[in-house]
Amino acid sequence: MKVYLPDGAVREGRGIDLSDTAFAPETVVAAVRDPGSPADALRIDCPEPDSGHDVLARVPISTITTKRLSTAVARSRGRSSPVDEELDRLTSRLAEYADTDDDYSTPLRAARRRLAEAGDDEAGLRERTASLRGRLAAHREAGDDDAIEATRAELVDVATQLSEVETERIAAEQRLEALEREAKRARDSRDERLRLTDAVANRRREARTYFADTLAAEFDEARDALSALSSETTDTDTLTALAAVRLADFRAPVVSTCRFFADAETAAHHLDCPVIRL
Amino acid sequence: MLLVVTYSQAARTTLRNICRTHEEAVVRRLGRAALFEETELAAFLALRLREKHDGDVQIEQTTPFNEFAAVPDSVREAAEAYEARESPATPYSKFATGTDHPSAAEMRDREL
Repeated sequence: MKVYLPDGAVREGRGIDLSDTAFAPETVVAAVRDPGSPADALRIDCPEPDSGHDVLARVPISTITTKRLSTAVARSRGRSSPVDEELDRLTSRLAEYADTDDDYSTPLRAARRRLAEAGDDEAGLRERTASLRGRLAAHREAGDDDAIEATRAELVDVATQLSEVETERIAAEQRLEALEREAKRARDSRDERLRLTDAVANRRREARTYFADTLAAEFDEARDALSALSSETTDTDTLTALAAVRLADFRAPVVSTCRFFADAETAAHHLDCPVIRL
Repeated sequence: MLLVVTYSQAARTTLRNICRTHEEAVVRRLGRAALFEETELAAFLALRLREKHDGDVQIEQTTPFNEFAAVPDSVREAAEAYEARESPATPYSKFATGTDHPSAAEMRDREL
């Protein structure tokens, strides 16, 4: 591997120390992943990241479970789990669902509002009709012809409005029903998607457990071998992460931010992959 | 009651959090769905969930089921009679044949 520094200097080897530079670990990891970095920045000439490298590009990592580390190791070795086939099948079915994302929430909301408003209008007009009828009866009893005429005219007007609003309400009901039917279909598809998402997560968990079980003995050995290299006690997280790198089959460099090994060359030797030390 | 059903992992997680922090508004939790009380607070919580997750949230208002008001006698009696059948292995279609009990197909097409 070759590291091209912005000042034009070039460093070469399986273990390269960059602790004298101010590069952040993320910058170095990004440069490992992307060999086409801009010319004025850090550029690293190295093999493409292997599978599993995304998890182990930078060590130590504390916020990760041994199961995930084991999975990264297994993937780097090209190992498969008994659930891989089903996982592939589920993932590809899930991918089909990702595109069918009909969202009816906006038209549904509009339809519900329209129906509620039409219902309110209708109720109001019905109330007015009832009160006008009452008034009409009272005018009739009093024999007030002018008032009878005026009330009757108003009643006709209100009745016309009522019939319009009724039509509107029925139309709103039908529209809402039609949208509800479509929304039900969309929910069925979301339902299936959620089921598949859960199934994928479960199979992945099973795969991780499988890899952790099958690699447990190797992990123990690697941890023992590594801790024998240092006289100081190292925390388990660091040791496990380093063990994972040692067990993984990487051609791309790993960025190490710990001082477990005396230098980058030693780290590369014991981790059995190119190492950039920060 | 308000029936709230979720259709994504994110919506399900939010629903779980709501149920955990607002036990008083929750009548029953059913995995990725929940029954809420019919209060303004419960409606507020349900609407918040829908604002956040849109189409991944379904809200329905339930009504108590009264079989004596909503269901014809024939259906209620058929259920009663079938559950009291002598041979547990008899399928309903066979049980109903030759009796006054409605067939499953007839019931399927009739709305309550």
